[in-house]
Amino acid sequence: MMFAGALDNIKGHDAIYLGAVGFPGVPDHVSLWGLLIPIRRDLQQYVNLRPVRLLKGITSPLAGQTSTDIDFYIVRENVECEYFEIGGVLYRSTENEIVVQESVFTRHGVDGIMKYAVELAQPRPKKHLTSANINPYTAWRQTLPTRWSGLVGCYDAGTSRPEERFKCHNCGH
Amino acid sequence: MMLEHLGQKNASNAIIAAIEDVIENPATRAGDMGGTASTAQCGDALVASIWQAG
Repeated sequence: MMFAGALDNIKGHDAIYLGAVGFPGVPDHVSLWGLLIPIRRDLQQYVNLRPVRLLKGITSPLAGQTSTDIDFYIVRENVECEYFEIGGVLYRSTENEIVVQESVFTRHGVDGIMKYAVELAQPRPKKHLTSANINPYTAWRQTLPTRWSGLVGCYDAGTSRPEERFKCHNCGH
Repeated sequence: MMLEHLGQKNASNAIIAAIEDVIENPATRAGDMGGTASTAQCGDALVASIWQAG
């Protein structure tokens, strides 16, 4: 996907304006593994930030919502999780075929993404944070609430405590 | 977002305000969002809105 030395070429800049990626004749996995993932990994772009806001004049598919109702950010992991190249296919193209794909979460990665989310929420009026989509079967599921509280506490001046809510979309806890 | 990340808060706010301005008016809103403007017209309206705000 990229020409030789492309990563080194963009490393010296303060910012990279990355346009829309995709072309009808190029499968998603090619542009993902050949372009996006190498850029994210090499430059440690661990936050996938997605602002969500309903602008005036736009009708939301959600009934009765106005521009004052929808205003939040999605802070998504950008380099770990299922983006690890750990896995493979056994007994390919047979009835016994099995595919294994590992999701990997490092403490460094988990702390980094949480820290970013906490700092993003601090200056916002509601200071509201919701942790979503935590896989209940990982060890991190057990350690996250404690680490989260500790991290939020680091930024908490006492009176402006952010509302903490741990909601697992998989198990509801 | 990039301008905000680079510490250019005023420039970032100017772009966001222009987007809100253009989206709110059906005449400058692009067709895929229920407006009547073409892509070029929508883009021109954005630029005009930024200049107008100074």
